[in-house]
Amino acid sequence: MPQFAPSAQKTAVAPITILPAGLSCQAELFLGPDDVTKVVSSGFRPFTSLGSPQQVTFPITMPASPGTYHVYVDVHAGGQLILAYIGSENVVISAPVVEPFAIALGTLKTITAPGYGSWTGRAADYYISNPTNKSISHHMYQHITVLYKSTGITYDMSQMWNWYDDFGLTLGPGGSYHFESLGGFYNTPDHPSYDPGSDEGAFLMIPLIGTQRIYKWWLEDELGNKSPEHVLNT
Amino acid sequence: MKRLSLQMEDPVFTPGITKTAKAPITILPAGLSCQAELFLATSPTAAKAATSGLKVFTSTGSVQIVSLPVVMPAGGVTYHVYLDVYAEGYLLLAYVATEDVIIPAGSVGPITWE
Repeated sequence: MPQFAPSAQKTAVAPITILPAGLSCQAELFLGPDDVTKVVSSGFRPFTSLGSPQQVTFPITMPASPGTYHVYVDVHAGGQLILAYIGSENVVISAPVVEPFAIALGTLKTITAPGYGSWTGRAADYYISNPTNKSISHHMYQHITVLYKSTGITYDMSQMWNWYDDFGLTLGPGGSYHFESLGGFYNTPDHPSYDPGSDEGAFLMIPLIGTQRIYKWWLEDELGNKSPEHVLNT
Repeated sequence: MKRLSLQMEDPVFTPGITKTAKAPITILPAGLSCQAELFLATSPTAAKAATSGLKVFTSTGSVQIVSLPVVMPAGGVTYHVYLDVYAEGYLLLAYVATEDVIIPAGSVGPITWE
């Protein structure tokens, strides 16, 4: 069963025999769930019958949506539908499988910043690699949650942080990248988490580490593939 | 009798369907018992691949439309169209249409993808 990527440009070739010779014909190949629902079509391909087999080509763009499609060929002559075929094999459109990166945890470094006194933050780092033999691209997001043990409330700090730590990454076969988060951000107006109440240019630590809490850091790609978690239990 | 040319469109039909030819026929004088037959054949002497049979009508002395239903024969062949008109049992008119009826046939082989 032929299998193609969504929206791939393909050409079908079919030997068509029409008698008598010399007849002005048009053939159309289309894919769909039935013979009246044309999801994609080659359009009408004109040819003049030879009275013997002739190769007719049907350039066609595959459907954008994954699924299984029947293949239909209609041949018209003199305005009449003279042949209506359905292919013995369907076409399968499958979305390319994008493998996730392999991610190993690095360190969870303690950081300090001016103005925070004895408060500290943490900067998580990760070793990202491509375990496959083909290039992989993902958009990565660092998630941070904190569970307040005394109240049982969990905050998703990655939401509060406006995806500060998101980045696109393409790695070739066997490639690797060491991602080191800062543990916060520099407070500039162009930053999505800009705080006008804080000094411009100051380093703002997120999160500040308090007691009786469980912090978790991890990376997640746009498909929801998650890395292992850095966990800090205070 | 020499066959005369008769104007007709150049139709393409599919095998097995019934099509009704409508022929304007004028026979003088009025009141004659007439019969008309339309048939398809590859030549005047070849076997009739399809025929309307003899359709009976009475001449009116002016043009009258005679319906001649024919089941289209096997495909892959171009057929000439003949029209014979009889009056009182005698072959009075013998026409061959200027255009033929084309009954295509064919097949589509296995599809390959490039």
